[in-house]
Amino acid sequence: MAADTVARSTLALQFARFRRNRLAIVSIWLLALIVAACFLGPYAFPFTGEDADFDFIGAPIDFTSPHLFGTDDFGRDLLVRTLEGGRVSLTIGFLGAFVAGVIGVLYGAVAGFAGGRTDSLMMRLVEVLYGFPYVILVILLSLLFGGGNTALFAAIVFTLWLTPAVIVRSQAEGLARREFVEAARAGGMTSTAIVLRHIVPNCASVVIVYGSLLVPEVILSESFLSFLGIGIKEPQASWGNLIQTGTSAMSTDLRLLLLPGALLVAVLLCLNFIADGLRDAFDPNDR
Amino acid sequence: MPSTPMTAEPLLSVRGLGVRFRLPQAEVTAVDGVDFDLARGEVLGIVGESGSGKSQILFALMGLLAANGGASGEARFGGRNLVGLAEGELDRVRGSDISIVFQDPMTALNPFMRIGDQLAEGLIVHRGATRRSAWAEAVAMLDRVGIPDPAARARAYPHQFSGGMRQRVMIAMALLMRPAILLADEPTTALDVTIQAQVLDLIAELARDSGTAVILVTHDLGVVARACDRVMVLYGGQVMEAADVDTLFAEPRHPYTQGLLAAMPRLGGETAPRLGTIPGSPGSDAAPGCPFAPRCDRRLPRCTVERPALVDRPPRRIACHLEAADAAS
Amino acid sequence: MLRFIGRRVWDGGLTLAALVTLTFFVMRLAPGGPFSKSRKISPEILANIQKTYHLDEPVWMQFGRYVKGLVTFDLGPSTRFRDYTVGDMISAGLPWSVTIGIWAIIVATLIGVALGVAGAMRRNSAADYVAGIVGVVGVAVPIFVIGPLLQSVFALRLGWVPVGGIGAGWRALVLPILVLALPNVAYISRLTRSSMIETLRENYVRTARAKGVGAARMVRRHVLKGTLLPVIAYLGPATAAIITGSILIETIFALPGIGRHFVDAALNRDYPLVMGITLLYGALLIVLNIATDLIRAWIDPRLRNGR
Repeated sequence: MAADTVARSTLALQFARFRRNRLAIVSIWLLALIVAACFLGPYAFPFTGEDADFDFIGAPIDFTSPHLFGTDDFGRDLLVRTLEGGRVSLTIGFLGAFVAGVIGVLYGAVAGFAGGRTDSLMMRLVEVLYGFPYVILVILLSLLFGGGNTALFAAIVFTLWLTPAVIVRSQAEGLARREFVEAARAGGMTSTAIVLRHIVPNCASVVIVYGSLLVPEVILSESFLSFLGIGIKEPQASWGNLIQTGTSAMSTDLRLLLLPGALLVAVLLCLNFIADGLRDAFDPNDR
Repeated sequence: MPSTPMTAEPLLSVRGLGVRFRLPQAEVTAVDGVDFDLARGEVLGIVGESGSGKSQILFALMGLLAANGGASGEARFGGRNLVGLAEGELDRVRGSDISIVFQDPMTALNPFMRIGDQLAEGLIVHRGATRRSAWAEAVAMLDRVGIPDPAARARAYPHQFSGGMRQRVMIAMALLMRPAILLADEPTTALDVTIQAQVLDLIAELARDSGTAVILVTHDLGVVARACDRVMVLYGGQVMEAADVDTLFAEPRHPYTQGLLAAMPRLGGETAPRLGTIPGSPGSDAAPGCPFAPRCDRRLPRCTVERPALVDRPPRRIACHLEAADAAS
Repeated sequence: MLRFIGRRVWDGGLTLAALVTLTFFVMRLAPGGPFSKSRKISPEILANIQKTYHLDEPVWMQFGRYVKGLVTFDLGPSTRFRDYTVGDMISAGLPWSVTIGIWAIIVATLIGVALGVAGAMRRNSAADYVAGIVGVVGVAVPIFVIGPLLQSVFALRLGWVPVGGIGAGWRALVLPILVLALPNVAYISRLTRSSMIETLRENYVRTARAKGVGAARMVRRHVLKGTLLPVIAYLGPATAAIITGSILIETIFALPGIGRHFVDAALNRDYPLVMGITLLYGALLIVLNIATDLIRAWIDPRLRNGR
């Protein structure tokens, strides 16, 4: 299909442009390193983040001891806990952005393709939900779903699919009137097939750009809620609740705040630079 | 007000005008060594395809080139060289002695300001007029350019006007200060065909009434025939041929001018085959010869290696090696 | 114009109604009642308490009762702080939250617009780089990381401001306001910069230059409105960001605002208080969104008719 080839070659061009953005490329490598450390790192230690070591309680940074960055007040290894917390935060971040993105894209594509009353009804719902104070909604929903990881995840996804839906809808609305969609319809393709084969792929670059902005947003939401004690709860570690623990101990020891805080900031910085790079590459008229 | 007396001395005298743009990859010449004079009250047409650099000549005169562009050469006006004039000095000339009508009336007016305020602004800034008296003049000018109910319309915002009406507003704004020179950059391109003629006639009429000289940039020879006294044909940023309108239309000498005339649509007839596009970007500096050589059907061997000089062959000026060859034979 | 306002108010009412319904049923369906934590209550007393709070009625009746209360601005008693009504709690906390919220917006707008304009007028200048760094830091460093860090430096190490609480008057609010403003400084400066660069490229700005109005007048009369329009449009989202931020700020700096009440209430399943604050936030957001639209319409005549 001609439109597909065109879309694909622009996509290739855009990725080529992205690859020239040094900051974004460095960010990708750094992010990959952090992800690898979080998922593989804990296996390099003989203990887990929930094992208390009573010989080292509140131990300081000491690269010669088994606990490189020391332990917390329960004698749990800070580095391993931080890496394990990262595993939770990153998983929720990427998975949440992916799921919210898929829901938003499909919703937007259907609304834009259908047009008319269906479209205005669907978008009215989005507008109503947009009027909600977002964090409040997440807190309410995570209470409704009974707390815990799944509840948190569901709550975040439920509130973050709106923006991709709006963006994709406006794209899909334009695409629905294009010749190749007319042709597909004339050729007897079903509406479902048209949405999946033509509308969604042709929204690819917008979706990539805004999807990349969703990931840091989800990670931030998760750590925000865990920081408040509403998200992921002890003894399971997440960057949010580790930072919370670090905050209560900061008058004596900044270490507990700095390690998870630094990793979270590094990840958010990388994701923002990558998102900026993608936007510059895919949407050069933007600024 | 022009300080030039009514003598043979031209109002505006342009010599060796060049415009170059710095791009990330290269430097591009948009206008190269353009010479011309403009007399008081005269209407000069500059014709060329998109990318021929014709609009950039106007922007260079007004100091409105894009940030990555630079002008060279000389443009004498009222004892000053407009090229390289400091921004503050330029502001005294712009809008008061020389004004401009842009191509796209839809975007050229400030959407947040009442039409009357936009017109009055020039009088307030340049003449120190009060807002009230400036508005009165603005309303009178709107009336002259044919805006119905001008007093009420002056209070309206641009989005409440049609394209043709907005261009009338632009013309009113440009002529309100009774400038010595009016620059018009494709003033009718964005308008409906039926409105084009009205707007052109309006420019010509108002200019004649107030003795304003006009430089009219266009790609449309029909526009030139309708409104201009003299024409300059531009290609690749260089002057190909210049003459008064009658001469140029009756006896085009340059192959490019001939091609342009042949491509002109005629009433009731078939449109002649269009000129193709040349590969590459206009003004890519590599070729040393005549810029039109790659598309010229009467190309001589020397055309691709040596740039033809613009020579006086009354009643025209022309830059073509064929002229020299014809003269020799 | 009237139709425009009407539509916005209608939309806002719809959103608010949806919010009332949603919050009510979420809180009723959420596991764990408000009194399930305090065990050892005899069945009679529990029944009594439930009767007092009408928890023994069917859910739809409770909803009706709640909506009826709302209309008369009666949000009911707090189930945790039993001597206080939700109204009491809110009116005690609101002044603190509003004070830091408004100051944060003012600080963020002033600094953000100044940085953005400086960056756009002199691209790649020192000011532009400062703005760029603030933009990156403000977006990527969460409030709950930078807040405690600044707290530990300026309060614990240097002792310039108190760590938290409200004992020290205005000095106690300096740090909270600055931290709350930071993400918005970042966002507003980015927005202002790109919007001004775009506006400077507009054809009508070129027209103004061609009129010879001079640089100062050009910026004041022709560039500023177009530049600020998106910044004003951000006022609505900024309110949401401030609400979110204030929840964190009040927790970190131990300020008795409604954000902190909200977290406490949510953790303790104090239904009426959670709902009351949620509705307040929702209403605030809706009102500010409408105000934003009105200001934009006032600036941009194109927005005045129709939508």
